Amino acid sequence: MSLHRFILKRLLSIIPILFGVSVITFGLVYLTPGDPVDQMVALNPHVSPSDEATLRAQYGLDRPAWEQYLLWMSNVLTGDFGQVYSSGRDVSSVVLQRLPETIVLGLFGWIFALVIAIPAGIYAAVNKDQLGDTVSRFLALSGISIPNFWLGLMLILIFSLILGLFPVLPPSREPLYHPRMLWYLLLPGVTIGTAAAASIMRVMRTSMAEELNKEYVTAARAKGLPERQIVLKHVLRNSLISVVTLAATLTASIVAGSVVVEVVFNWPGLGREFIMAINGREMNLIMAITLFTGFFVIIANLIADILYAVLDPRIRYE
Amino acid sequence: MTEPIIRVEGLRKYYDTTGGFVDRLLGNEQLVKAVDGVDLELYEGETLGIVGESGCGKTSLGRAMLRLIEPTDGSVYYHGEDLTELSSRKLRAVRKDLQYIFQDPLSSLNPRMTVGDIVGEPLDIHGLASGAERNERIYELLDVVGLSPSHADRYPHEFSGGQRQRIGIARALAVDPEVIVCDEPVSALDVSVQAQILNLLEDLQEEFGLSYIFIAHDLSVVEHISDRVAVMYLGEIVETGTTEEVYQPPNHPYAEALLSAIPEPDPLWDGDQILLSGSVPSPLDPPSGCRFHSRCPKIIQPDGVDVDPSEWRSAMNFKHRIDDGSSVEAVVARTRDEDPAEVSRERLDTLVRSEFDLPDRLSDPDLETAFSEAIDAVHDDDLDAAADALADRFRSPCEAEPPDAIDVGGGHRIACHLQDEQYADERLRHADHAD
Amino acid sequence: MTLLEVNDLTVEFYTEDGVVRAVDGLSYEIERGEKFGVVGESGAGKSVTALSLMRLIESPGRIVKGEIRFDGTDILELSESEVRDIRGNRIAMIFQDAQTALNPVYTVGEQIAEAMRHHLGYDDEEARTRAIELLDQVGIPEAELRYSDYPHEFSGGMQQRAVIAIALACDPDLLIADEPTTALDVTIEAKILKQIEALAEEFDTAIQLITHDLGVVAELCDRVMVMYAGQPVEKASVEQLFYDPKHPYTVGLMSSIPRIGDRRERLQTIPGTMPDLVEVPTGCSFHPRCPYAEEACRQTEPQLVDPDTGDVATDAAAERAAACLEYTGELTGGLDYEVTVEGDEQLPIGDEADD
Repeated sequence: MSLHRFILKRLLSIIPILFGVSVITFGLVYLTPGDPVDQMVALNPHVSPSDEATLRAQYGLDRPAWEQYLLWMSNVLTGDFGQVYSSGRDVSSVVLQRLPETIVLGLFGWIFALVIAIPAGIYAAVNKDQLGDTVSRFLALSGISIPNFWLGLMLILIFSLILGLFPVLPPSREPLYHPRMLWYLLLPGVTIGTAAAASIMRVMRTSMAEELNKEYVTAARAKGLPERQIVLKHVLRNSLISVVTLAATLTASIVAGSVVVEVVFNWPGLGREFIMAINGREMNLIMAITLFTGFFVIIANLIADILYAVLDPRIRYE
Repeated sequence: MTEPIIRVEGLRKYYDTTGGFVDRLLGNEQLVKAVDGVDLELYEGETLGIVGESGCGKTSLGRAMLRLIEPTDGSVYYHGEDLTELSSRKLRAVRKDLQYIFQDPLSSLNPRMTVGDIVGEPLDIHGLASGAERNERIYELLDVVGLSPSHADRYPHEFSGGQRQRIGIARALAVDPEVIVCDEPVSALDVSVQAQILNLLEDLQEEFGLSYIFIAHDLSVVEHISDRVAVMYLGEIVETGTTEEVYQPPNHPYAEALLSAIPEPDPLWDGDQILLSGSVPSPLDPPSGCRFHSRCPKIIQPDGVDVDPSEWRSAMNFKHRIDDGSSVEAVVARTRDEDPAEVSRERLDTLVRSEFDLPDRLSDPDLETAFSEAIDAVHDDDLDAAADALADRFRSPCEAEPPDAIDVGGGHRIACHLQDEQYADERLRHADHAD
Repeated sequence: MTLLEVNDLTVEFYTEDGVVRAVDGLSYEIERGEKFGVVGESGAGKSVTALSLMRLIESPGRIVKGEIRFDGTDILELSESEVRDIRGNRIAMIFQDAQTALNPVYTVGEQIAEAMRHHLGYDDEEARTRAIELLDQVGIPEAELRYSDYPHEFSGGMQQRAVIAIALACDPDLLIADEPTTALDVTIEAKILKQIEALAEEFDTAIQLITHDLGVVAELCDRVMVMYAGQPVEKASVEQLFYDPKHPYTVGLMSSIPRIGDRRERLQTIPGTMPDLVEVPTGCSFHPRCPYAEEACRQTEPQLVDPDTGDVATDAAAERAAACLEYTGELTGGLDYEVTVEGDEQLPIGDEADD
């Protein structure tokens, strides 16, 4: 009951947040020197100044900022995100085409991170201050410190160019749902998930080590339960609570990371599109991508909050 | 008697635990009544003990008195001046005379300050001493509480529990206060150290003419140190008087139970412990009438009922369980062999009687009839009907009216209906029963 | 019949400040169904003793010496899985702070049921029904509904009852109760002590009660051992301990507690505090705080001896022993205290004072 109300409340709160995001993004792009017409002119020197003015008028770029924003907003409210200036395509169709690519990449990164980090964190906590723990902590620190564009390039260098295990660029890309895509996903997915895996592992290790010192663990041992059951049942669930907190914030950084990783691996997702949109000052496209990713980050946070309540019965949303 | 140095009138402290703005609009307000209408006096040079179990509101009371937390309602007169009305600037000046010692010395001492600075801080705040004079004063204070001047440069974590409490006391003494509220000052300490601190507090009282409000859950400690004692239950004072008066009959039934429950350090001691039924009700929704009625072993019987007090207590427990419960399992627990929802009417009757310690037939025929009807209803899994069947006979004046504090002689006040002349017969019943 | 026999148990902790000998040469025994008290202040080594019995001492601590014979077998010789079969099954523990001893994310019922599933091979349904029965037995109303409550939905007293139910789940032979009522209010404490006593009686369970509260010891125990700085300083029956204490520390402890109806102006105190176990004083570890200490106490470490004969009584079976040089004739001034008992009770033992 109260959980439903909580979810509903949070969903409603998305509206003002996205409104704020749109105002800030619009403002930032508006203040950036240059507009789409400048970009077009740069590519095509034959455009006359009067054509320029006509183009500006056509896109409404000659109006004051607030008017442009209101116009954009009123269109968005009717479900129209506008067109891409350079190609004339609908922004929404571009976004819908690119979105699955990014979601798949992000999810793959996530799964990679969790599969590596949680067992590694448990292992490190249980064997605290022993060799295995030291090694995994060193790896985690490296994972956090290495910038992901560099990691991506290194992976390409080692696994594609030297070892030849992966194509540098897929000769012809299969559709996203094709099994072979898993192979293509591996390097970008690992790149995007490494930093997250490292952070999660560190938090997992710390919180698990802390939980292992609590009295309920001694109490569970005093019951005669096997150590494995104590760790995997009693301690794991308690330590996951702090991992969930981190995971929510990591979602945002995975989204941000996808921008660089998609460029490095030439992955046709929203991130790569976003870079192109910024270069072309494609206001409509920038706005739409920002809103979509903002929406997903908020949803990820909401899922984290719900997971809290699932993991920890003391948390009740009212 | 002289004028009290502190007089508390009708002090209340409610905590709002309402979920949020929407709930408040909808009127779903949830108030924890931590302190609910307390009257107290503290006289100069005396120690007033406040005892009660955890959650009874004694700490909130101590803090609200000094306005460390803002009281919801009521007045605290200090030398005739109402602290609750003072501006924060004036209050700061008055605070110099009113100090507070915390239960957990470690968490109330800033870990990054040296002992000297902790003790000297109040001197700085109130501008009492500076420079060499300040150091002189710090050394003097440390000496007074049994620490050495060399301790001034150390940090709190370097000290044992007892020594930390001494630091807390030195800090309180720094401003030369008149009143110190001690909140469980010895409960975190080992017994041998506890005795040292209690003796120190007594010595300081004598030396500096201090008045203490001593808040504790340990009745023997309170008895030892207090001149007068107030007993708290669920936000209210149920009994006040001199220590002798409170620690001897006549008592409030709650105070009596508390006193009887202390394990005596004497293996052959064989006092009758009064075991209270149930647990302390939630201060969110305290019981109607006398707040202790839901657990009181001496709960008053209505006109026309005359049964053994323990039988009546059991009968009332049964009624409360029916009132609060939602199903048969709430009344009698299911066991490996039996599901109370499945058993026969006869069996259910037996189970209920054994669960609530009731005799095979209640000694009052009217009660037995009502009880029997209730069992019928429980058997039909209709707890509302069962509650209705009991509503008429199973009720006590204690549930209806909150008792006034009645003076039983010389300022010894007991807030219990049994002290009311109206219920003098009832008192006799318990006196008979005790013999 | 002897259920537990502890011989020369020594536990050390390796800390940055040095080696801490938390328990030093402890020997005692507990009979089947007996209630044995271990008394002392914080740092006396009571809890370490308790954990040692179940071999739950963790790094940086280590049991360096001794033997713990439970029903004939030395627990210290067993394999890890053999010890696990005993833990929670034949030896169970009631923890001091129920709030931290219960796992916050599992239901109270589950935490009672899991040990039974593990040790007794109960299936889910059997374990559940038995857990509800146990909840009911330890006095939790509406046990069936409460089974699926989480610990935070229980009051402090009820949490403690749940911890007792967990300990009783597999019908243990020995129950180690570590300050089981210290966190509770007196009215609840009285009820829980009665409950522990009744349940122990019902199941013929032996109890090792660890406490600093002499009132609780007097109420529950048959025999008592007083510990100071990791060592036993006195062993006695509960009557002997209270009416005829032989060690100055025991005497100091008893006179420092305020008692109801006591008109003393000042409390007796034991000056100073328990020594830091990294640097235990030479000779008798209590001598810096002892009002009767002499030069000899600084030099010679006293052994547990029979206070009447002065014979060495360090073995587990010794019923009456005190570790004070007085009883080996090495003190010149003697112990100058007197035990007075107020009220009109008959003393079981002659009122005697050493001087």
